[in-house]
Amino acid sequence: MLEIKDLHATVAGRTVLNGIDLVVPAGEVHAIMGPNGSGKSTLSYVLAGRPGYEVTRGSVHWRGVDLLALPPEERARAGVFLGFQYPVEIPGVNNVYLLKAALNAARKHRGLPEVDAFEFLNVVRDKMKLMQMDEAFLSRGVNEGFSGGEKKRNEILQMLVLEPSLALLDETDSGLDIDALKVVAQGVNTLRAADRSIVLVTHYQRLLDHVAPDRVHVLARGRIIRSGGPELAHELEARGYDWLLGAA
Amino acid sequence: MSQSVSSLPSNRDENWKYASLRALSNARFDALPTPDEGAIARAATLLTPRPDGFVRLVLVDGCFAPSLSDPLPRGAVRSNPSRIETPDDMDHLFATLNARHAREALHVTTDREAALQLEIWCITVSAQTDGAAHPLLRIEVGAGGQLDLVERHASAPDTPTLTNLALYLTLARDAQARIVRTQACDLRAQHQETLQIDLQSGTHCELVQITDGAAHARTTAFVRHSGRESRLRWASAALGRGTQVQDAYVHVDHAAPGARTEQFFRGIANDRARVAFNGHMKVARGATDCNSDQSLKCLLAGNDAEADVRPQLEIHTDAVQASHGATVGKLDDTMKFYLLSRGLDPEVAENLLKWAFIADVIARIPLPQIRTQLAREVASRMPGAPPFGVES
Repeated sequence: MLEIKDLHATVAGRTVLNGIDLVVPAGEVHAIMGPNGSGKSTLSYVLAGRPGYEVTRGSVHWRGVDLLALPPEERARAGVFLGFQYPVEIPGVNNVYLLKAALNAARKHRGLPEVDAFEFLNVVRDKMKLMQMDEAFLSRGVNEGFSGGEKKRNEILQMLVLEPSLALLDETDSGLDIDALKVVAQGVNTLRAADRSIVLVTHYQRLLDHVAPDRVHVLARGRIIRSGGPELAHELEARGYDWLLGAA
Repeated sequence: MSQSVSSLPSNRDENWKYASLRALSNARFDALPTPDEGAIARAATLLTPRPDGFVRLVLVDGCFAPSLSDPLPRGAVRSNPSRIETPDDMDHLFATLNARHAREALHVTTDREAALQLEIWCITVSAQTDGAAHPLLRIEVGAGGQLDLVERHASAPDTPTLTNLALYLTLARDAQARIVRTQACDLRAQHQETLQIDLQSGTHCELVQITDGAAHARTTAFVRHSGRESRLRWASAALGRGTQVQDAYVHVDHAAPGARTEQFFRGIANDRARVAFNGHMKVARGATDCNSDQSLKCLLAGNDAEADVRPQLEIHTDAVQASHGATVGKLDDTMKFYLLSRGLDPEVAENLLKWAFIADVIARIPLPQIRTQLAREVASRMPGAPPFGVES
């Protein structure tokens, strides 16, 4: 279970999160929606431990572990995965190396033996088929020269390989055409499991047509101002955010 | 009697601004003694497997070592260094000292349209500080010929000795050369080298240089496009750690029409190291339709590190295309966070990014089997680096 209490955070001295309370039980998919600048991406970065995002108050526990006490790499090894809104290009470091290094870091943390190159390729090939990605992507630099859609597929591929227990997907649907959206959604749905929590940060209902959320939360001005079932996303699609912002 | 020199360059000399010269102030330039069997045996331990198809020639303490070398190829001789003449200026001082003190020159001449694959090792094993190794190489590639040259510089552990190399390379009309140079001397060593390359009409020279050894290392290079339509692709990487100084001055003279140069440098200054690259592009009067492109970048990866990259253009004619870019920066925080968010250790993440920074130089190594080997060697010398090679 992910348990966030009274979370406040600043970025470059500016307060962005103003007291977030959120619980995401294991096995559930929660969507976080909200207008631009509401703090959605900041929340993702704070949970993943990005330097420069300073928590000034509150707590975050994941499976009882104080997440905020861990550096980003230990959060990742503990099962936290952040799918970036803007995946970073790293020319010179190829995908296959990063994926294998990341997988083995997680396995080592869990006390499992590292996978060798043969085992790894077997694992990754299946996932690539699911994501409809050509194997040539493996030998390319991380996200180097990828289209926006390819980058997002690559993020989901990494998630499928790493099998995190907490997946935070920051606007994974942005920049995707309908077909790519379906592929990405299929990847997310594949990962749904009773012992796993998924947080989808999104602007739009359309991703939620393919990945049915258990709960929907509206984030505005750094706080969650409304929570509800999947119907809340439809209401937001129809009415926008203004009616909520006025009441908040 | 040992001989020092009364007037070395100083940091006030424009082309020596970033060099480390203090250690040279008391240096003795007399040639080291001819290596004995023990020295040859120590040098042998530093050799790596010979690339397939290459002729291996080895110099130890500046002297040709037949027992470690293949038979001299056709056109190769050991000759008297006194025939070498060098310009009388400060930038050629070390070449002059080399010519004066070298025990011999290794002189390789290839026939017209002949191909030669040559691996040359210059290894310094003497621990004497009252002398220097002066490897002297002269290579002349015949018209239409093809040279693949792998030039390796190394020294035995814990040797503070000075190596002062001079390399003279001439490509006759329409000849081609693919050159890979590495310098991985002991971290106490001093390494000076002077290169003079003459590119005649229609020649094509690809040179990749990787330096990460020696306490103080300096490359002084003069490349002259003496013939029309000659091409030079120069790519180098310099890695400094501890208090190392890696300094290079590369002067490229476009003396004939249609000459083209692409210069690419990537340096990484770790810890308290200093890495500098001064790329001086000259286009002579009347050398029309020349093209020069410089991309010089350095990564500051230590709180007390220093990096200097300096593109210089000296153009004496119109109708020239010249572009240059030079940057000094730190590791990208977003890239690093991306790797950390995938569970990589901070040290591994940083080394991966450093690797990525120089990967474009490695990728430019024009000989595939050498590229793979050197990628692994360089990766193995990056502290804390994961066991990745060219495939990563």
